[in-house]
Amino acid sequence: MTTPQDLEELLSRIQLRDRAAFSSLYSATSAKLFGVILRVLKDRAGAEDVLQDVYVKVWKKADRYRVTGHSPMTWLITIARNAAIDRLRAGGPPTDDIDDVVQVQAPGATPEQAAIAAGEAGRIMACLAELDTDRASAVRGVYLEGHSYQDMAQRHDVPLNTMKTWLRRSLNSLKECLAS
Amino acid sequence: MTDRPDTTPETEPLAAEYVLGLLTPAERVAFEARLRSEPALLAEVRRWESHFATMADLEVDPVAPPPRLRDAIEARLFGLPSASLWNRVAFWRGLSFVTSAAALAALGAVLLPNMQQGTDGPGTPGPDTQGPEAGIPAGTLLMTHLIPTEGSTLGLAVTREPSGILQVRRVAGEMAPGRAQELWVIAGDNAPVSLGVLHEDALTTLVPDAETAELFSVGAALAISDEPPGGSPTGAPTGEILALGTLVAL
Repeated sequence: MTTPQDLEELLSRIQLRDRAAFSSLYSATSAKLFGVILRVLKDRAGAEDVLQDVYVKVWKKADRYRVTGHSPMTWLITIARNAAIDRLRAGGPPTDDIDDVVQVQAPGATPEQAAIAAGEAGRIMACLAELDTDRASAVRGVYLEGHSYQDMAQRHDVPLNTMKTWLRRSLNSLKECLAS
Repeated sequence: MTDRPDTTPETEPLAAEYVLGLLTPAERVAFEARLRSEPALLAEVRRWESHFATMADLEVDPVAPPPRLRDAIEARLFGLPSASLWNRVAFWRGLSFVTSAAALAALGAVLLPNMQQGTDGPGTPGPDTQGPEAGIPAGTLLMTHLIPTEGSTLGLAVTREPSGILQVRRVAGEMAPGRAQELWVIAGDNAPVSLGVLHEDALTTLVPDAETAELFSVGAALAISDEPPGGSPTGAPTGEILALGTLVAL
């Protein structure tokens, strides 16, 4: 079992170009990231490509990790999920790497904040549970499967704007619950 | 959908939509421009990233990627496949941390009858500070258990007799049909040196030449690779690494 502290330590060593640390990080995290990518893409060959790109990025951008104030797993999953979505929506411009352009720390984005976030791990689950089932599963589908507004509008057979309004309301309820 | 279509304008939870990838390309570019100058908005993006990633961490089942991906990634980043071998050896060397009890239990022991100096126990094989020693004193018996790598079931016990003769016993796993298994010794940052190909029976006796025998020292690593029949054609490991072990001082 690899603790967040272990992963923090590995990321610090990767910043110092420690290949053994990189190998250890891969062993500890690749199955979770591959699961996340596969869930979005549903295509093994594509998911394998994306997983490679993700770890190449992790090696090259380990120094950007601290700026985000994220826990190691949040940082890794965010990179993996964004890479998978970019591939799914191939054709549009790739998502800007805000870790690159935003060099300042977000207020409150500190290791302590990451610790607090880790302590609140259950909060998102509790808040999703407070939403109606169909709203919660729509939010899950957007993050985990990469559904777009168009996908959802087609699925429910409603106009696009109706879908947007409905999901935005769900997100606003979620935001209120998470802030309380 | 339980809602009637609704006409009240809803505040746009842009940060959440951005993190979810719901914005159109034009909206996204505009939003990213704001992120550079609005720290509060960026903080909100970070919060959503954290919440949703936590959800994924809790809800998504891990799926082991195929073992060749690690090699492909390390080849892209570090070049040669031999670098990948080196990395894995380094990985086992760095067992001081992120380790498993099983791996530690399997770490070999070096029995030094003269017990010249006390060093760290096998639980903390730190980085080599003393550098490879030139050979080892006569009369020393070296032993190690090779730990199977991910996806491999091969386990080997290696004994080195005072005369330099190696006895390699396969204690778990077997030969893949039509393939050979080759034993390598890696001293310090040097390239792996072949010790020979293993027999199909459980026990193989290998007699390294004098120069190769010099490589055996505390901290040297042994590795077994999968090779074509007759062993590696290149003089370096060409196939998957099946098991690894490090000689550590008690």
